[in-house]
Amino acid sequence: MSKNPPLFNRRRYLLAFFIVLLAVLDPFGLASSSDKASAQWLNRMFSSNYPSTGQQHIAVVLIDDAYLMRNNTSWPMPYSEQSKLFKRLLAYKPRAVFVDLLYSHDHSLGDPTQGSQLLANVFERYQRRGIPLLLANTGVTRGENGQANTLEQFAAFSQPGLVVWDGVDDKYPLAMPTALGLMETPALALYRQFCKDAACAALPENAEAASRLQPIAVQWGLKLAAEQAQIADIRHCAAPRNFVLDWVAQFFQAVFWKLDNSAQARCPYSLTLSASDLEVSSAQDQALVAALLRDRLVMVGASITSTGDLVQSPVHGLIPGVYLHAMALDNLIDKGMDYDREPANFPGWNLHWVDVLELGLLALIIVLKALHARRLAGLHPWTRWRKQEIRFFTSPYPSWGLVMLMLLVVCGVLYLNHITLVNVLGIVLLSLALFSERIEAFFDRGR
Amino acid sequence: MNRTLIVLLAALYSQGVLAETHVIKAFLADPVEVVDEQGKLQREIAHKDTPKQPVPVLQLNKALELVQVELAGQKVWLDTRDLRIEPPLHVMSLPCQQMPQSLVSDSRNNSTLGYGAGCNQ
Repeated sequence: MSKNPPLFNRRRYLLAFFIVLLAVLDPFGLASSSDKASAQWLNRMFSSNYPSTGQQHIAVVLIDDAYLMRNNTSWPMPYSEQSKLFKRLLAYKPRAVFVDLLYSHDHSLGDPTQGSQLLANVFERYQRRGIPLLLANTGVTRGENGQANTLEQFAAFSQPGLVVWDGVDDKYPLAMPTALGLMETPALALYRQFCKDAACAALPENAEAASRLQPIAVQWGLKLAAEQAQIADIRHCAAPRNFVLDWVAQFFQAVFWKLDNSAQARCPYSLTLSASDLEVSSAQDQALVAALLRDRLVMVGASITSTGDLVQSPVHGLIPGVYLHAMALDNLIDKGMDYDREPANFPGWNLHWVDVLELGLLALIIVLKALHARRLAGLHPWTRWRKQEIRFFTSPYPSWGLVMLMLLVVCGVLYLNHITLVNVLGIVLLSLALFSERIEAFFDRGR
Repeated sequence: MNRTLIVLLAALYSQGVLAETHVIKAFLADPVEVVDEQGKLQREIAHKDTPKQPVPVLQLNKALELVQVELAGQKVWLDTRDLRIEPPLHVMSLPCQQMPQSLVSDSRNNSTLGYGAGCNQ
């Protein structure tokens, strides 16, 4: 046996190669699941500190079961009912409107008193008043192979907002290629409207340029808008707390989620009005609703039992799909085109440089662990700085501190560059391997 | 026979009688939109050109929230949202509904809606 053997033998290098292969191939999606869990946890931790810049410009109008019952109507709503609802909204003069309802089938064919033309007439009035109107669009050719998309009579008075996409996981794209050509999503389309009156950094020139940009890694906020209490009963919503308290609560909720999952049910972040709020008749109430909707970017969605348009928010749980568009728009207003994103993959690989950075941190842990094991075995120092090496690797704490420092620096650099952070949870858990001897010794004590 | 006739006549004219009791007190929008009986935009009237005196409502279309009035000798339909009508056509105060709450992440609803209105089912 050599007096000063190498840090790793061939088998160890083979093991390292195997680990890299695991990272690249991601068998069973374990690494992806771990990355997602880490990203969602970080989103929850920072959600209470999410700035309210975008919240002040966005409102969600929700058609709910209570509204249907109050108006003695049904779902899908008859066009005459919808025309009334959108007329009321029009009177409050929003800056732009996105309707997260897909008008793919005419439910009132042959019935002029209930026909789709009633609603088209109202949409035409939006166009006349210069209020941009976006309708949900699937991006497919209507009628081809039984595919559904917006009826022509509505498309004439509105812009399409793409609501169906794939290939971006849980991220929110800015634009996607579709059978009808490149199409922008509602968040970007409304952000363009916002930027007409506000100073925004350079927007993508067109849908093609937008489609080349990385999708948004949507960051969710937690604190309700200050105005929310004026329009709705929010006593059941979690009251805002101190940032540190929220952090601690989120941490324990994440650790003990198996024991109590109830904390995930929360009130949505975006300012929300019920469709019933638009029906108010007194001048005072109408002034209040006008103050909340005038010049806002309004998104109209539905929360009807059994309609199924729900999205998963890491902060809230399951919420109506319209809130995803609202939150993506909020991210754009808050951060502009510097929104949080994952870096692009290497060509031909499902891997990007942040993954390589993670592997680098993993490699650092392995090297430090090997040097620590060498010290414990009483072997000769491996580096030329013998005294420092002996001092540094006598205890695992300096190594762990170094890993944490590196992790902090990497996260800081990524954060400043608006890149989604590395798998913090994974790295922290793996770094505990530095303490394996101590942990074993603790449990073997007294044997 | 007479009773039936009276009931029929009352039903026929009740809407008109009801409408006559409503008066437009103010035009809130500028411009005010003139629409047809289906709510399709026909033309616009500048606020300064709207009558300053109360205008009686000739007919109501509650389903579409439209009223018919006579302006400059012409019968036109207007949107009730652009007008202050006395007495009000409907009275509704702020419902102050509960803010919607999210569902916990593992909640499931394994059903879909049946037919809606208009499907004649």
